[in-house]
Amino acid sequence: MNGEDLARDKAAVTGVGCTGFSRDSGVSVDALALQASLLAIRDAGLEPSDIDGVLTYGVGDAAAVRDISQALGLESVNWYCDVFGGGSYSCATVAQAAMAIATGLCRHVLVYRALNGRSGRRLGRTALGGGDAGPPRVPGPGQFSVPFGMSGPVQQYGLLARRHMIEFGTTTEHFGQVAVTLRGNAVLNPRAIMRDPITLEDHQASRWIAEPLRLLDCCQETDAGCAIVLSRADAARDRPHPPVYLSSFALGGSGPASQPLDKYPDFTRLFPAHIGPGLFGRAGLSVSDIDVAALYDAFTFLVIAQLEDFGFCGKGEGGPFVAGGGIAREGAIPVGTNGGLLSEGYVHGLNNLLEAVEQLRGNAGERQIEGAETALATGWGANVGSALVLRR
Amino acid sequence: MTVDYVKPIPEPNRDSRGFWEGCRARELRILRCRECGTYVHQPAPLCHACNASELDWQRVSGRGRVYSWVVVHHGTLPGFSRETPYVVAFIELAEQPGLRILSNVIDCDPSELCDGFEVSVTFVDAGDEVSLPVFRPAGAGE
Repeated sequence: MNGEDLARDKAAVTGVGCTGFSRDSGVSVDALALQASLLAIRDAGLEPSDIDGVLTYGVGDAAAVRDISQALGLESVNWYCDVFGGGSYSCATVAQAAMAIATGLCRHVLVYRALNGRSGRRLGRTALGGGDAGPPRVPGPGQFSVPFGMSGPVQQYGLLARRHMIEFGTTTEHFGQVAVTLRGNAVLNPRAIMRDPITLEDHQASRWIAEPLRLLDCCQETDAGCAIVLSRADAARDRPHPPVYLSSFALGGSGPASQPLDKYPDFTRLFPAHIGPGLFGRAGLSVSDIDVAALYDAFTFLVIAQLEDFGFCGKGEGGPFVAGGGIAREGAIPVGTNGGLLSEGYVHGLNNLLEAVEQLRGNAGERQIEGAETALATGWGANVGSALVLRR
Repeated sequence: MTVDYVKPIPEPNRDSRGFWEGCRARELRILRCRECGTYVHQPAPLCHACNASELDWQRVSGRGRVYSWVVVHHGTLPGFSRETPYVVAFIELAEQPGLRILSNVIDCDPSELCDGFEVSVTFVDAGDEVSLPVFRPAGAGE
């Protein structure tokens, strides 16, 4: 038997909440998480006492589920989880909430992510824990990367980007087209932290961070919190907003892979190539049915890689596809309509999922893609990624 | 004696100790499956090709080719900010297709790097306990 009908459309997003984005929130991570959570619960027309599941994920700055649950005064929770993980887990954590609903365990689940990602613990510096005097000692897989000056995701994705350039002739200008397009989208988004348009020349003039990636290839570092409420389908229909159903989800990647990708079999066949066919199949859709894509865009190259490996364009054609306007608002598949992590801000990917929900509600204001009925949202870190197919 | 070394250093564990002992002896040693001959890096208790658990440390040639690389201009780790720009690269070792090790390429103008650039291993001391395997252009000598 296929598993496709067990989870399809059994849970729906009924509430979303987001704090403002800033470089210094002036408040604790817990305060950001609580603010976003209350906004999402009320957006769903619920009270905190209706919540019977709570999940979050994080590396670096994070607000623990036990603390947030207690602060919200929750008395009866059937499932909670602090997932240890970063970008890979944005959609995966929501998927876990959907599983808790599909199994009958929960009725209304809160998922949040909050971080003071600029004023608190900056993500580019998570490679090291606190140190005593003397050189920091790095255990685990990091012992084979950090001592060589590999501090975080920008170098990791730079290595993937370089290999893509070698294999397919992708250029830094292609990366720049992603940055320019998403910045253009952020101009329409009052919440975005970067709203001044940029040109390809601006991109090319920005400094190298980890060549081939420049400053304008990198996402923002922001302080903010985001939350969503996921509800059982039969409890989602009488809420203030139209339900946005989770049609399918996946978390996966390839083979014997460990950071920093030493064992990754093929640097040009990334996580979507492994989870995409099943993901769309379980949703009863094909990639061409997707109306908007909230792709995880911690770095510009990630958009190009996902376009190819989900099948929005051919292998190796991602750069020209972007340069030809393929991801623009009026293009074949609008990507990052909020400005993405590149220009709206960075809440470890969850803010992109919120944008997908607002698009499917028809509630995205000036950013609205007319007639959007289906969306793909993704998260990605190193060798694995997660994705959701959503529909109104 | 070594001047104060401030950069991060590896903390070997039971799976990786043989690798770092090899580096200290100025040999690049990689785990190799006794059953099927597959080299395994990063070190692991099982061969990922056949799941055999008998693996031996074997000295490899130290020759390889650059598979991918970044030139780090913005260094945030202790001791690295004053070394930018530096090269972090995946080296595909000569012994086996896909056998890649992350390291630095030194003694080389980064603009000269290209796909398949030939390199060979050398070792630099990272304080008094640890040596790191890094790579130089092939033919540059030890």
